[in-house]
Parts: sequence; structure tokens; C-alpha cells
Amino acid sequence: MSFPFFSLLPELTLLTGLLLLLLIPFFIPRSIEGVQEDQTCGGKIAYIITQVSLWLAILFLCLQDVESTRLAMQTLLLRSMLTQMLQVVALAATSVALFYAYGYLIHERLLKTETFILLFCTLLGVMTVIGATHFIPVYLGIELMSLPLYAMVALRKEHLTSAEASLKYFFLGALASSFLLYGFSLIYGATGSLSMLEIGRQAISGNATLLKIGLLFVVAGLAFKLSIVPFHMWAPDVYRGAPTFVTAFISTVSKLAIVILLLRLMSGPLVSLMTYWQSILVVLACLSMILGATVAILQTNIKRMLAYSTIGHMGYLLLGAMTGDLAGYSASLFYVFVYAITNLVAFGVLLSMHVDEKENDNLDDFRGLYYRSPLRALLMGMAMFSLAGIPPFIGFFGKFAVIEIAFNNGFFWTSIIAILTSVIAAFYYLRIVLLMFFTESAMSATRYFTRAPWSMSLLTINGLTLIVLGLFPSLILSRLVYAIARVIVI
Amino acid sequence: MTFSAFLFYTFSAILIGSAISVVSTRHPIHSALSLVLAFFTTAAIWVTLGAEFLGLALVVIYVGAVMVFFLFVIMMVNVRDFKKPKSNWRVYFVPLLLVGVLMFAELAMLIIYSTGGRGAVPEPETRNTFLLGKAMFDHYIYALEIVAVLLLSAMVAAIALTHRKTSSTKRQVPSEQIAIKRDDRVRLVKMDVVRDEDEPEDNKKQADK
Repeated sequence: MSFPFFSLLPELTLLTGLLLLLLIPFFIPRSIEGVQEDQTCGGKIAYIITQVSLWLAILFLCLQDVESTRLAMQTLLLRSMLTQMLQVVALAATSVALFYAYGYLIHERLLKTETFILLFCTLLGVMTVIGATHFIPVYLGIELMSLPLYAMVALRKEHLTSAEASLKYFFLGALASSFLLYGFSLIYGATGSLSMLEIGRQAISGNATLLKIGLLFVVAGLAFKLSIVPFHMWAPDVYRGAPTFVTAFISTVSKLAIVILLLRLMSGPLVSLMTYWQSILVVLACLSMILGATVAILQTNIKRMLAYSTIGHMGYLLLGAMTGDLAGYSASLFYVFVYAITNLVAFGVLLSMHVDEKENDNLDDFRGLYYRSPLRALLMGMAMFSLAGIPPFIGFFGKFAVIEIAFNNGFFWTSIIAILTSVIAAFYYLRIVLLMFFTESAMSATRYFTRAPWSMSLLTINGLTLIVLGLFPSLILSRLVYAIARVIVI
Repeated sequence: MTFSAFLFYTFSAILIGSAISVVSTRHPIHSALSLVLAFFTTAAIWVTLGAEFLGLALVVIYVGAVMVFFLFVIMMVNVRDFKKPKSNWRVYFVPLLLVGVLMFAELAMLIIYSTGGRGAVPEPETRNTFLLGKAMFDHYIYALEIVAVLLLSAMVAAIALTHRKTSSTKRQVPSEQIAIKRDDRVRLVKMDVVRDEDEPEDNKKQADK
């Protein structure tokens, strides 16, 4: 057996980066006398290594030949144009979030080697989940993705809310993992295989009852990871308690991986149960959209508000997925891209709002932001307009794509609910805009914000992409449709 | 009744008996011993069913874990709360001997079964251990590597979450201790000898004390 070195090069790059990070504490002392603890050059070197290996991995991913879909590692992994796109987006989003977070990490004393080691473990899990076509790597990838995240939520050891959030996330996450595993084992019982390609062939002749129960468990497990109602309880507390950088990661990169897994399961192995899928997803989508739109209005903390906003957005995403055709899947994936790009801007602004050891994540902290920092206010306003789905911004096209697909496939009432809830949700997004531009600031204008090299210019570019992609949405959408149409297994 | 059926029922009886005694005996040491016997018997049943790797893994992992359990019992349970035994011989030696004899009997039966009852030992290429190793390191090598990273991340997470540096902790730095020289600690000062006139009185006072 020859080792497929080149097809595994991106993962190997990440693993090498991880191992290099593990070596740092041996050569660089944790704290030098007189220097503030954990603020030594070790953390900075770890940061640089992380960024370099992320971009190297992206480079190797782009160099891969993905014109034809291939199976790698004894059919455990899939290499297609779609997986390549998703993996590049996941790594790039992480890198960009790290740029935004540099100042925040220093202030919260998180610029430590452990942070980056755990981040790399999570990323390896994300890469695995995006590419996996076999239940064993799928499950292991999800575990590898979640386990370091539980720890990263609690990395600020002196914060009680962080510890509480981490504990909640851990227990509910363990429950969700067991659901998922139980579902996989039932599907294995019905079809006699763990490989998604094989299951697709066996599912028609398999025991339908077992398959349906297995499907139910798998949906429950994945819905937990996506924070879809009624499995959303953890999201607000975790979003609030986690360091903002980790929140940004959870709400963008980890969602990306789980969404593609959901679509792959639906379109490949369990496609014979499509009607069954649809009836579950319609209910979940409606509940998520309604709860996300209404409960968020009551929140006074912007991270909690964004958590409910995520819940709502995951509902919209299911709209495209439940149609069960390729156009619907590409609309869903487009939506998750849009959501990730927009959320990166929102969290980027939030990360740069850190003043005087304070997170400034309450709605009141946004009062009169325009008069203190016009750029931040403008960027946050763009993000909010995009999340609300207002036309010149990309968010509009995401919502438009999924609702159109759902409507065309006969989900009339679900589309009506989607439109109504997006109107309600616009209220709380626009309230932040109102607070930033039209109210007096309680804080003095002389307060300075956290600065990190390049972060504001990168954030501006990221904000501008919201408009540019909003004007030319086909830049992504056509590529996605092309990539999806080319693959046999999503 | 065939020999394998006989083995199955015998082992099952021992397993059920030992499992009941795990939860019903008063003495923690007895329960731990019963637990060892229960695991060992389960392993024996697996071996008779042809899953020899699983059986051996059970012995290595669980029986090893029970050793740790023993330590916990000794460290954490206040043994003085239990009634003082009349003789150590009856409390410790008899159960130990019983468990040992049962284990030995099981082993003997297994050996008879695998060499005499079932015929020749299977070829190495068809044994579970071989096939399992081949599957793990050939087909599932990627999954195995992921598990390795998963364990690593668990370790890093545990250390990152529990390691706290407190400023009040006192600790030794051996390298500094070794590098110390006499001149860093002791300063020799040259002084003239000064004799007070009432020196003898001082000496007397000290002697009185």
C-alpha cells in the first residue's frame, strides 16, 4: 500500500503545525520574570506558526487536482471540488478570525500555545468531517471538532460564565454524540455497512423501521451541533460565555462542516427516506425560524442575540436542504457561506470593541458608536443589514435563494413563515443600527479600542465583500452549482 | 451437551455469581476481587466464542483498571469502619484462593477446549488479532490517526484547563541551587578585634542564663 502523501498534504500540514506548537513550550519559557504572565514571545511564535501553516494548508488544498471526484484513504475520504471549496473556506475563515482576534487574545491573556493547539485539533476535525464518506471518520471527526471546543470555551479560567458555558456545552454535546453514534449503529444494523456509498445501495432493501429510527437519532445529533430548535438550549449560554474568538469559530467554521455532512447524508446514503427527512426538517426549520426571530428581541447582550440569530439562520438553511434536489442543496450551501462571511464581520467588530479589559458586548455599549468610531459602526451596520437580508448586501441573496427554492418545491406555508420571521428579525438587527447611529454615547469619545495590525483594514475588506458579493452573487453561487453538479456524492 | 455448551453454561454461572457478589458483599476488597473474576470470566466466554483478541484486551485493560480500583479502595475507604475480622486468613486468603482457583480452572478448560475440543489452532492469517490489526492499520489507518489526535487533544485540553500558575506557590529551581557559589551567600568582613572592658561581665551573665 502506498501512502497517499499528496492527497493528504493539507491535513498533514495542519498536523505538522500542531506538533511544532507542542514543541514551543520546551524551548521558550512560559513566563519570564518581570513580563506579564502568558504574554511572552511563545504565544506570538505560536500565533505566527498557526497562520503560516493555515495558509500553507490552503495553498496545498488549492493545488490539488479536483477536476474529478476521488476517494482517498481506502474510501474513507472524499476529494471533490466541493470538499476543496469548503475546506478552503473553513481554513481561510479561521485565519481571518485569528487576524481580528489578535488584540483580543492579548487582552484576554489567551495568546498561549494551548489555544492554538486546541484550534488545530478542531480544524483537523473540521477537515475530516467535510471530507468523510464513512461513519467512523465522520464520528471521530465530529468528536475531534467538539472536544477541543469544549475546552476552548473554558480557556478563560477566571470567568465563571465561561466555566458554566463549557460544562453545559460538554454535557449536552456528549448527549448529542451518543445520539449520533446510536443512530449510526442502527443504520449499520439495517444496512450492514458503515460506508455512505454502500449504505446508499443497501438502504432500499434494508429494514425500513430501523433505518427510520436511526435517521431520527442522527438528525437529533446533527441538529444539536447546528443549534436547531429544540436542540438549541446550549447556544445562548455558550455564545455568551465563550471568549468572543471561540464564539466566532463555533458560529462559522463548525457550522460549515456539519451542514455539508447533513447534506451528504441526505443526498447519498439516506436518499430513499427523503419524504421522511422532509417532514422532520420542515418542523425543525419552522421552529428555529420562529424562535430565532422572537426570542432574540428580548436579549440585551449582543453575543446572546447573535446566538438566537444563528438559531434562526440555521432554520433558513434547512429550507434549502429539505427540498431534496441539487438546486436546494446549493442554495443551502450558498446560505451557509453567506452567513459565515457576514458573521465574521460582526464578530470582527465585536472583537475589536474590547476596551479596558471589558468585553463591551452589551447592546448599551453600541450606543453612539458612530461618534466614537465611524468605521466600526459602518462595518457593524453592514453586517446587521446583511444578516437582516436587506437588498444591496449578500444576505439578501442568501435568503432569497433558499426561500425561492422552498417556494418552488411546494413548501408554501413554510416560505410564508420564513418571510414573516425575517421581517420580525429585521427589527432587532436594525435596532443595533439605530443605537449606533442615532443615540448619544454614554462613554467618552476618548476611549481607545483594541488595535491589532491589519485587522481593521482586513475587516474593511471583509465588509466590502458583503456589498461586492451582494452586487454579484453569482461569483459564489455559480461556482457552487457547478461544483455540486459535478459530484456524484456531495 | 457438547463441551462448548458446557463451557458456556459453566462460565455464565460463574459470571452471574461473581457479578452478584460484586454488589452484595460488604467488604470492598471482596467486591473488587469479584469484579476481577467477573471480567476474567467474560473474557473467557469471548475466547470460547472465537473473539480471542477482545478477550485478551478485556483482561489487559479492565483487569488492569481494577488494580487502580483496588488502590482507590485502599486509599479512600476507611477500612476501620468495617468489623475487625477474627482472622486475616479467613477474610483475605480464602476469597483470594477461591478466585485464583476459579480463574485457573477457567484457563485450564479454555486450553483443553482450544487444543483438544475444537481441533487445530487456526492459522495466523485467519485469527482475529491478525485481521483486526490489518483492518486497523490498513483500511482504517486514517481513523486510527484521528483517534491519536483526539487523545492528544484530550490531554492538552485537560492540562490547559487544570494547570494554574499561582504567584504564591513556592518552588525550588535546582539549576539555580547548583549554580550558587559561596560568595553569593556568605560575606567575609575583615574587622579589627575590639575588646570591651566589661567583657568578662557579659560572659558571666551568659553563663548565668
